[in-house]
Amino acid sequence: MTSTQDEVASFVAARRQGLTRFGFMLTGDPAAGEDLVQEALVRCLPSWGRLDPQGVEAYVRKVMARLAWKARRHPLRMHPSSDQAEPATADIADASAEQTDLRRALTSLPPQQRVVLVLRYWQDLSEAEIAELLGCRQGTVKSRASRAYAQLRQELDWSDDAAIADNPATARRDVS
Amino acid sequence: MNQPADDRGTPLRERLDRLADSVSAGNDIDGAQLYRQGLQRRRRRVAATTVLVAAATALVIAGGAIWLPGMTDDSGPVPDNGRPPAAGQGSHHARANAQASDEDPGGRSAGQAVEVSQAEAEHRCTIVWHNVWGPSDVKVELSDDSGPWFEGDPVLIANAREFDYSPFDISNTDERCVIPQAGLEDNVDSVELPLPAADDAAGIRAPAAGSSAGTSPIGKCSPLIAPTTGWRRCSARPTGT
Repeated sequence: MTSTQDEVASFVAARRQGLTRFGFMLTGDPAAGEDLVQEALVRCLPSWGRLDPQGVEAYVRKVMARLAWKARRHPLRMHPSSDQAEPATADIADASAEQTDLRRALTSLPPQQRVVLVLRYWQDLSEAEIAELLGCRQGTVKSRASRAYAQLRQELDWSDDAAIADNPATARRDVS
Repeated sequence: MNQPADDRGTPLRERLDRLADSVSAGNDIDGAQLYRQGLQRRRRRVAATTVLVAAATALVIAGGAIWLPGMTDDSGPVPDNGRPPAAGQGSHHARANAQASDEDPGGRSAGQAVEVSQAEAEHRCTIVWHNVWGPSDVKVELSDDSGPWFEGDPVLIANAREFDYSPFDISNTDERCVIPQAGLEDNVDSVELPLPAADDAAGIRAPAAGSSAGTSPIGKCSPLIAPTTGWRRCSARPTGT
C-alpha cells in the first residue's frame, strides 16, 4: 500500500461521515452523495501530496461543491438515484415524516439551487464566500438561494413559519 | 451584503441538520476501498478517453486518406503532364515529351498532353507502322488495354511481329510506337520502301517527277513518326513541285 493510499484511507476513515453527509445534502441522495465523495477524491488524488494536511477536508468539500454545482452539465453523472422521490428507509435512520418531506423537496430542487441552499443555510456561508467557492457571481448565488428557498417553502407549506416565511434575509443576524 | 446565513436557531437550518444527521455514512466502504474504486474509475476514464482520442484520430486519418486524393485537380495542365512515368518507359516518356516540345507545328503548348482513345492510338500507330515498314492489312494492336494514352507516349505493340519488315532485319526493331499528334501522322503509302538512294551527299533527294500535292506537308521522313529506337531522325524535305 503506498503512502498516498494510506493517507487517503486514513482521511476517508476519519472524515467519511461528514463528507458523506455533505455529499448527501448537495445531491439529495445518499448514493449520489457517496459518488460525489468518491469523484471528489479522485479529482484530489493527483495533487494529494501537495495539499496542506490541515486543509484537505476543506479542499475536498470545495471540489464536491463545484462538482455538484456543475452537475447541470453532467446530469447523468450526478443525477440522484431513481428512488429519490421515495427514499429508502434503510438509508435514513429515524426518518420522520418531516425529514422525508424535506428530503423530497430538497431533491426536487435544481442542482445549482440545491447547492446554494445547502451552502447558504446549512453550511452558513455568506453569498460572497459561496460565489468565490463556486466561481460565479454573487448575484447568481443570491438569485439561486432566493428561488431555492421560495420553492422549498412552497413545497413544504411553510407559510406558517413566520420566522422564515416573511423574509429569510431579514431574519439573519450579522455576526461580523 | 455578505452576511452569514441564518443563525443556529433558524428552523431551516435545524431541519437541514436533522436531515443530514439522519443519513448513514456508507459503512460498507472503507477508505482504502474508496481509494481503489477511485483509481479504477480514473483508469476507466483515462482508457475511455484514450479510446475516444484514438478513434477520432483514426477517423481523421481515414477521412484525410479518402478526401485528399479527391482534391487532385486533373482538369487543367499540371507539371510533367500530371502523370508519373510508366514503369520502364521513363526515358522514352521524357524523350517523347522533348520531341513534342521541340517540334510542335500543331501549335500546342509544350508539356500539354492530349489524351487519345485506344482506337485512335492504334489507328495512328497503324499509320506510322505502315509508313515506316510498308503498307499491309495488319493493324496495330496495343498490348496494354488499360490506358490512358497520350500523344507523345510510347506504347507497346502487341502484334508487331505480324507485320512484314522485309527487307529489314526485325531483330533490331523496337516494338514500341510513339503516338503522334493529330495531323502529324503521315499518309499511308507515302513512304516508298526501300528508300531510293540519295541524290547528293547531304541526303537530299530531288523532287520526284509527277509527285502529287496530296502528300504529307512534313515529308516522307517525319521525325515525329519514327519509332523510338533504332531509327535516326531525318530532316524534312520539300515535297511536290
